[in-house]
Amino acid sequence: MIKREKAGRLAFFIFLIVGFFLPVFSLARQEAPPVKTPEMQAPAQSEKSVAAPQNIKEASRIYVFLGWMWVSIVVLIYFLRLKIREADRLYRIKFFSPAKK
Amino acid sequence: MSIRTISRGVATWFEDRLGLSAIVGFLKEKEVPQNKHTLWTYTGSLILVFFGIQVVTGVMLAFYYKPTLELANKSIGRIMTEVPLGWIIRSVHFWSSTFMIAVVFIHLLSIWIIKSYRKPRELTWMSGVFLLVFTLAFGFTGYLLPWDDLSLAATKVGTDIPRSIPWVGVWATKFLRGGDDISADTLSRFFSFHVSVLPLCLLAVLCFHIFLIQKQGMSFPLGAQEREEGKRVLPFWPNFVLREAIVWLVFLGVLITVAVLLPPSLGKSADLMAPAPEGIKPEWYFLFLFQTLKIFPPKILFMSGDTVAVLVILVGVILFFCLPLIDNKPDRRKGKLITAAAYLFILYAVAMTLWSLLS
Amino acid sequence: MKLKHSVFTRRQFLNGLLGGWLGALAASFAYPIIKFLFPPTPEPEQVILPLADYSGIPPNSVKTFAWGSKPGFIKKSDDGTLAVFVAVCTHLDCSVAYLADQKKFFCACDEGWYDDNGINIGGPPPKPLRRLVLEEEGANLIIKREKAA
Repeated sequence: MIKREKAGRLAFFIFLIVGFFLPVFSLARQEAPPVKTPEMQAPAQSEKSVAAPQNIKEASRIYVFLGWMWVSIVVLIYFLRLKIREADRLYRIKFFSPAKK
Repeated sequence: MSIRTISRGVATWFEDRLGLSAIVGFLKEKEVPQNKHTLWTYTGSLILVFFGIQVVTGVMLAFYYKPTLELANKSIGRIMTEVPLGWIIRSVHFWSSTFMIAVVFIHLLSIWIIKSYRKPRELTWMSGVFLLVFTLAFGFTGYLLPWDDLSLAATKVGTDIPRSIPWVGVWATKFLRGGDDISADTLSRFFSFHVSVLPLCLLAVLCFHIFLIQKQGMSFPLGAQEREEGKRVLPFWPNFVLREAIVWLVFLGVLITVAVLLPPSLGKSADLMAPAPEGIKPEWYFLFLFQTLKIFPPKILFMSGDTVAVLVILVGVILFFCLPLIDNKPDRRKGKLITAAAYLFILYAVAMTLWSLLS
Repeated sequence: MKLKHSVFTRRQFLNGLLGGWLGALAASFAYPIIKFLFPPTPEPEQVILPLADYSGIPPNSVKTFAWGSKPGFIKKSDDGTLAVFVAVCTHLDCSVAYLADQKKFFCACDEGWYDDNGINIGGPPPKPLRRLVLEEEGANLIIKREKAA
């Protein structure tokens, strides 16, 4: 392959990786809940201790994460369907099995 | 030396020593039948995904959980409040167990109705019954670990039930409890079952179960071989696996969403001397059995109602285990009866569960 | 400038997109797991001790107290003044001892020596012992973190 094309390909993949991980890291940084916030929901003597995000900031970060997760799942399913379509097509035209009839 | 040549060199180095290309080649040749039942074939790998999540979240929880009377409840409280995002990890572990058991039931019922257990797959079915027992045991032992009032009471009742079995019952209860009564030893024992004994047993039987499936191939519906339907297959790799990946992603998304929005709470630490709280109920997957026990009268002829109920359930389980041996001619009338039995069982379990929930 | 050939094939592009996005999703799952596995162990802001327990110790001796999960020494010198040290060796975290007859702190793990002000004078320790701030308030001793530099 020509050197320029190789460099171009590498540059594009680096751009892809950085482009995907940047939002991840900024989201992830948002995710860290401040540990020093009032911790125990209720003293040990009460009936139940309820699990929940500790403050409104942590709660909204979690909703952002849920949103990002579902968007990712939809996008990934779209890509997977493209790959399935291609794999089925290859199977139908017997691309991988020249020996069979 | 490009990345491609380096990775090819590494792959060849391993190939010369491990010969794994045989396995890869096998997976490439493996085929999955494509018919109206293919939908149910997704349940198997889905169970594995949930189990994997249980192992990972379970190990993480075990880093902070302390299985002693004084600290069990407190350590879980600490996980939920002090450890960063501990409540999410615990919630995922809790919900993934529910999802896993639900999919196990769906998997079992689909095999029962489609009759994939017939020759030569009887051992696959039987190992599957063991897997079901282990999975339910996971749920039962895990339920005690938070050591709150409800879980203590449910475990007291649950470990008392085997006592009704004649001759061996008392020993069974003693083995489960580490003595006659529930104590600190019960908690240690249940923890050991939950994190050591059961994972080892389940993994061993699971390897056998999966090996059998690979060796014998996926089953075809009755009579499919003669019909055209028998020829319609999907290659396992990559076609089927790509489809499975979509199913995994969707279920993973639902699991995380439910875990984040509906985390379980924690009751206060259990008191061995206190009276039982009201409204004890086992986990949802035991409710139909619990209700079955309740509908038996206290005394039947010369035996206690409990003993009869437990014996009836035991006989049912044994018949269930021997199903492939009983139903060896599935395309005849016997086969149709077995299918009807499956639907009846679904109806019964759902009705009993609803009754238990509403009462 | 138009390229003569594509930089990569459509298959490679799709695989890259799929793998990259899946990696990003996996990383966003891995992050809370990593946070879970590394919980913070904050030091206390201050520790309050009853003065009575510590005022009566003989000169040239130490008494231990708990500084969070680390051991601490309250040392009474010959002239009666109190000083507070974190009794953790700066080499490899072993707990140090006070040898009154030599007026030195000694770490048994690798034979590290500190003088009676906590300065490292012998053996592997690279830094002096950490000192904490001591305040008397009524019937209590309040021990606080050293002022930030």
